[in-house]
Amino acid sequence: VKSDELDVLILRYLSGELSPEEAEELRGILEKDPDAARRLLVLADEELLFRKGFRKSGGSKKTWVLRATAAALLLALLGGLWFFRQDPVIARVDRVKGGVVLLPARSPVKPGQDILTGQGLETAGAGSQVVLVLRDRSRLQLEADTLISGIDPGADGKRIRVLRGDLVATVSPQREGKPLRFSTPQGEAEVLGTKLRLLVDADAKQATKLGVLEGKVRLRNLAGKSLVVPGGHSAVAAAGREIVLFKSPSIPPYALPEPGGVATIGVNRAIDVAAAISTPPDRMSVALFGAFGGGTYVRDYSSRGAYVFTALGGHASPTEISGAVLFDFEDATWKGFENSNGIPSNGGGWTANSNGPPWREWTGTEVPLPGHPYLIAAELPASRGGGPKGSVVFVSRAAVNSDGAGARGPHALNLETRRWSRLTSAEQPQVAGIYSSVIFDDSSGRYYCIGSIESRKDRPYYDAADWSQLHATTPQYGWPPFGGGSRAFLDPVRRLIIDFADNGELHALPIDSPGAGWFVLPVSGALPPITSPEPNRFAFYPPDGNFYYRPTKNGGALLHRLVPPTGNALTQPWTADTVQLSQPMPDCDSVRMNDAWYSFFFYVPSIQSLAWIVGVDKPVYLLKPPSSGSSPSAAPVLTLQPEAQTLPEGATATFSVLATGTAPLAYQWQRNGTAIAGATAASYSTAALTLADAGATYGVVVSNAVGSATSQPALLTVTAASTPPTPAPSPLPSSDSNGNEDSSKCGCGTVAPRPPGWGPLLALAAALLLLPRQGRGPLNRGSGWR
Amino acid sequence: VKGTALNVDDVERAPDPLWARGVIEQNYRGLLAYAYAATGDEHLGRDIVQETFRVAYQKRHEYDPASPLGAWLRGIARNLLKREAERRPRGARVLSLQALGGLEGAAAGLQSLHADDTYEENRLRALRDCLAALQGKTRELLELRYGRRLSLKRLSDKSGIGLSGVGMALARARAALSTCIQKRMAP
Repeated sequence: VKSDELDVLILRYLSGELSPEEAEELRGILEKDPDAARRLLVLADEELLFRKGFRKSGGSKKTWVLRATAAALLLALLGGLWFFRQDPVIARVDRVKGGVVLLPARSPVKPGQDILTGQGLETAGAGSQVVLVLRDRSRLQLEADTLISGIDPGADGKRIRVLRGDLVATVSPQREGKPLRFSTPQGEAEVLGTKLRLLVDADAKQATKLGVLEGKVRLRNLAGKSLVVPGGHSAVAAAGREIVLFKSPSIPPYALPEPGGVATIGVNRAIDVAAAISTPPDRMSVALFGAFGGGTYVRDYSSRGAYVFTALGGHASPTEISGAVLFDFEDATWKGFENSNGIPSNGGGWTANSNGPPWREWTGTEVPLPGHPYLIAAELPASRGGGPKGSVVFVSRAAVNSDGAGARGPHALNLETRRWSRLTSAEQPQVAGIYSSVIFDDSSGRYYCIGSIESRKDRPYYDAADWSQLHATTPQYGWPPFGGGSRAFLDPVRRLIIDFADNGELHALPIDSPGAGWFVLPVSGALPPITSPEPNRFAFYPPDGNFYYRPTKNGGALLHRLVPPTGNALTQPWTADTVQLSQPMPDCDSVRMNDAWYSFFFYVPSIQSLAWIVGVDKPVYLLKPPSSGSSPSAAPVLTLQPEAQTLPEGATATFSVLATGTAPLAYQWQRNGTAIAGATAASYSTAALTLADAGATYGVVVSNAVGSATSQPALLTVTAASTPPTPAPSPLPSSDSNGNEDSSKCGCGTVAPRPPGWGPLLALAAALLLLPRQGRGPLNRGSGWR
Repeated sequence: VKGTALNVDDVERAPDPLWARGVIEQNYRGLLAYAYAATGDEHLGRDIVQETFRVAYQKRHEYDPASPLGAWLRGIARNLLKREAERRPRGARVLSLQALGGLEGAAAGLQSLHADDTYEENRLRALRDCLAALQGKTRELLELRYGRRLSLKRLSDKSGIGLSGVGMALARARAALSTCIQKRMAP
């Protein structure tokens, strides 16, 4: 075939004009002649070029008619698009719970309702919530008491004005250079990633708190300084302060209750725990609740802490387990372990193998198990000399009188080593009577021993810094009968030990000025019953600053509340009333031992919930009191603790804390428990580290007008400069000296450059109007990319 | 995607849009010429190319970066063409695998030319310049053929020249245009 003839054949092939015979002929040529195949490819490439070139240039009358038609249609389309562009609908309501109003009309919001540019939304009180879907499919979930004044489609990207509240946003990728922004009274959050939570105080002098769940968000304060907050981190922007960055606390693997609600977690399966402490399952109620060791919350056991029941030996102890059973709020599981002192469990029993009479006298250096255990255990945190997972202090009645004297004073169970040790070898005087409690005051490190039978009213206490002495406050004799020590508790805000006296009175001792003596607190309303057969358990709830009582019997959904006065707590009346939970909780009389005392009610700071533990083979109940609006007297609550750090010498360590509570909050950082001069901000940076700094602990006391909170100590480890630790991959984006992110190194979640907004639409219109048949082939039935 | 008929939003909905965009922009035109040559049908060729990129995207983790990407893509396209040929009746317009093999050598070179995103723009500019310089029947013939999309049969009927003669005339006109373009693009 001559080259001209081959070209004609190929051109007709490329136009679909060959007969089957001619096509067969061409195939035969192509199979035999590689040059012919190359020619085909060249002509096919040129054919595509010419088709495209002639579409873009030249033009017959018909083409011009087509173009004019296309132009007219495009104009019409542009007009429609302009109208569409002016469509003020910017979001649609997906879900509504409780009272949500549209602003400024304050009309109720319904699912499916359109939200127009400039319109705002406000969620009402507890339980209200609204979910919005923006036109770009971003989702905003506004929690209770949240106010956004509008969503604006600005030329530089959407802007959502958040005046106060709590919202969670899952943001779709935005166009480059047009990020979604949340503006707040304290700053601005520019979304570079996908999912975040924003907590906004209405007062511009307070703070915007940002938690980034996925992706990255740039937080900018009113001073114009910004910080990129990566996923898993939180940051706070507050007026007049640097932005503070934290690693976010992890989210519990269980659902937390809503305000006023109840949730259950972790059934305490006796058979599981029993195996760990060599106790028959039918004795588990004894192991958990009958060991007189009592329980205490230990913050250090895990990131969410654990409630620890010490199961102790002693003549009055039902078993000689001598270890502990605990409920770990980290993963909502029960765990049990025996002591590692080499003293085995006897497998339970009320009298067999107890230390009880004749009393076993411990000799020499042998570390005895704590004996007569009428004093309830208390937490000994790592910062006060406990183990890294915390310890449990047990001040036994052996220190009270000769009864069980072999126990020799306070003991501690180290939850890391599982070993009991004596905190002092000194002979101890009597401290209190039986049915007493040990009250731990974290801010002073003191353990107050409150009892009744011996009626020691000089309020003796141990100091965690020196267990060799038993101190006493100013004696206060001649006082009416006190309540049982186990009915006393600490008010950390007003710094009071409060005791429910048998005569129904509420007694209080200001622990920072014990010389003032005991006071009878004025109470408005009826105090709940204190003594058997229907005693109450008490817990302080820092989020609202109130005390809550849980009846151990016939409690139902009832919760007693004791509201402190906003003024002088010793002279102004405390208000006693009740609130209802959304569902009842079990009573204590279902415990196998049928003893109403074996129940536990306490506050878990890591999840900001109260916990109710009662009985065996039951779940742990979590509850939150109904919201009573803004508390006039919220003491500081630490939501993020300073973290331990390992740095080479010469580096600078920065510790940060995040606290909530009534403003203004004051900060005082401490090194090894001693205040650092001038360290009064939410974060503290050390000078250049030396090896001498290794092992130091840093903590902070946050206080306001109504109270204070002390952080966990953060351990500083300093490595020699010649052997720097292997740096872990930083979760933070690289930044310049001004803290600005280097966008060239940042996978910020923004999308690649796109054509202008009209591009795809115009291209579509052009394709429909001008281009030849596109995509009619059999393979194009689907949409292609999915 | 720039220079292609693929939908921008479709590509950007892909979980790895940067990969998709980069691979498509560099290989679309060369692969289209290959698929067009293999089928003789521009629309079917575009479908094959789109399907090729979809399959390639799904299998992107199987691609060995040490081997030529164009060859890997043509391998996928070849499998699709083979499948397409099997679905079509005997005599339909898809080349045999043997004939496709003949395209391979030239396709690699063509694809590398098109990998330069200025290549196509320069060719189009040169084409417009050359067309502007063309006069008379050659220009009219090309206009009828590519501007108005007339088939050779219609051109033959319209001009009264035999099919073979029209074909020859078109081939010569194209050759002249191609030579002009090459000259204008020469450094």
